[in-house]
Amino acid sequence: MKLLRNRRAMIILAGLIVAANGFFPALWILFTSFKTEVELMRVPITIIPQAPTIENYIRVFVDQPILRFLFNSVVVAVLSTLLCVTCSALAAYALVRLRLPGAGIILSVLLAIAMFPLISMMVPLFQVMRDLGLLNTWWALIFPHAVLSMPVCTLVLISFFQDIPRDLENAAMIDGCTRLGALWHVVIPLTAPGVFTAGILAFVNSWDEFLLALTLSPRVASRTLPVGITLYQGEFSFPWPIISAALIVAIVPICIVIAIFQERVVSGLTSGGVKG
Amino acid sequence: MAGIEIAKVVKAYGSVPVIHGIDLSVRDGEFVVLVGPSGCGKSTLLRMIAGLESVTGGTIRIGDRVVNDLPPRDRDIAMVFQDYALYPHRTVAENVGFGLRMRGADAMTIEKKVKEAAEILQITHLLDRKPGQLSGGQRQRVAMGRAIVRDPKVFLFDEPLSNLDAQLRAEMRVEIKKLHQRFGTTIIYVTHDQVEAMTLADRIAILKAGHVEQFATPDEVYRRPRSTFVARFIGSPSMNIVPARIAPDATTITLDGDAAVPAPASFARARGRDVLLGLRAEHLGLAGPDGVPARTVIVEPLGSDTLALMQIGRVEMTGRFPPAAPLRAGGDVTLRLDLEQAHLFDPETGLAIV
Ligand SMILES: Nc1ncnc2c1ncn2[C@@H]1O[C@H](COP(=O)(O)OP(=O)(O)OP(=O)(O)O)[C@@H](O)[C@H]1O
Ligand SMILES: [Mg+2]
Repeated sequence: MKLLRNRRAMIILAGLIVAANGFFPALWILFTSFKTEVELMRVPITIIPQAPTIENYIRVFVDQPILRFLFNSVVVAVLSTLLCVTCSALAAYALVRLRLPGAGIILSVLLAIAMFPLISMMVPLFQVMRDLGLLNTWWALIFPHAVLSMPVCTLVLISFFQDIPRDLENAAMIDGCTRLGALWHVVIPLTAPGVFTAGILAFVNSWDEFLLALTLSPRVASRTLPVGITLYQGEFSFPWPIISAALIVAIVPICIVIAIFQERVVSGLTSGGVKG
Repeated sequence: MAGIEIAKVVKAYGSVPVIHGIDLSVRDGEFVVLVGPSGCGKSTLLRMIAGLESVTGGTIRIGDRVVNDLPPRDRDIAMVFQDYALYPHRTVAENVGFGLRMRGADAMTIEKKVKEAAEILQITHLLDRKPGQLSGGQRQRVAMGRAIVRDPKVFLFDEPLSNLDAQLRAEMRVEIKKLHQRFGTTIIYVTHDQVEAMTLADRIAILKAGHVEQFATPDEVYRRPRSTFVARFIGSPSMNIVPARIAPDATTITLDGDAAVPAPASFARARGRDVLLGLRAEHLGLAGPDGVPARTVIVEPLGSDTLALMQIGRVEMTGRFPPAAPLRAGGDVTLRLDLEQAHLFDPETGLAIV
């Protein structure tokens, strides 16, 4: 009995640690964004802002065209997500269903690619984008972002597609669908949680991505948020409260996206089965 | 409506052949059942007809069209699967109407036809449910509704009843037979249940390891099995098949070295040969003192009649007796073997000696 209670306590403790680890920085940023720089530097440290101010948020929108960056980020993330999920779904479907020779090899290569350090691809990517004339356009990020998320999205979708009984598609094909039609009308609806999971992974990956954004698309017109936020730091100053406010502006949209799809994703991660 | 011509059809998965050249000619409106033990290739053959498996060699014709390279949707067929394969995210009505929708029928037509099909199958009250909320029997009705609603040329069934309990199975069997009588559509039906095969089929194709062992009417396969394989497979209980030797003058037959029994004149066709003697349970009976002595090993009362396993010399045979027959395990009886009805098979090839 005691052991059991201890175990429960341990689990709760572990949960708290994970939650704190996740939430503390976010909360800290949130609080900081409402403080003045003076308050931030004061000793002893305050946690809750003593004299909350929205001055920082005003500066965020005034000092830099952050709405432009936000728009660029949304376009890049949405388009790269759509591209990534579409390609991943087709690839996963082919790997699961078409009895391709060498499907196993393709899978392990995918996994290997997923572990590739991004930095090793920077120079070739830069040259390719330059030769295509895509530098400083959305496309310079949309394509690489989509490709970066593809291995993990494909793997996620494979595990979902595997649970769909083959005969469901066969029935659809006899009912008048092409193979792609069966994928669209039967497989995708039944694996919607998996598709959303893959979509969110791709979206977050693109939203957060900094290195490529900085190298391939640094000009204002196509600059995305992660790069944009760095511009608030001055040559000699580091205005933490303003940067925190900018970060909050960057975090909120993604929270909204996740909140909208969370229910489906959670049910997707926990259920999975589609026994008819 | 259409007949089906299967000519020299071969199927291999990679280098592993599973169908070794099958010829079947199914007439328009005929109900053909494919039976055979697990793994003999029934589903594979059916799926090739449906277009779900590629054909390695030979041709399949539906009506007057060679369909080898046609995708399933262009073959004008409908199929009912063992696990029903209903779309779990759609209601019963949407499931039934899906094929019509995919073929571009308008909403009114779909609704009308779905209602008609639902009435025929008595699933009208289920139309708004999802498949997950149905019993196995109801799901099977929905799957059949999905098949009939399109009025296809051919129905294909792959063990549609094997997930149902015995009573429901008997009920649905009658239902399927009614559907066939009503629509007269060509049906190819896969099962490994010989009772289903016998009761449903106009003709039965018995498959063995990728080839057709016999293709004939139920009556024919029962009365004139082409081989011991067919003889054992069709009929319940299985035909008794025991080694025997026919005397050179064909007047007697000796069961596995023991009792010599007078042989009917027809056995002259195998005079002096070692054979396998096939005798159905109903062709054993209790006899007077001049019968063949035997010992009762096991008695299985079925109500309508009683099965008993008999030891005759060194061989065992199952007999079917009237329910009131005085049988008890371990008791000695004398038997009458109705050898006029017996089958003779070649012990080497297993083929019937005729
Ligand atoms: N995709 C496949 N790859 C390789 N071999 C296969 C494949 N599908 C079936 N087989 C083999 O083909 C043979 C015939 O299979 P099939 O499914 O047609 O048997 P069946 O007669 O329908 O059996 P059951 O009564 O168990 O359904 C089997 O030996 C099986 O192992
Ligand atoms: Mg099968």
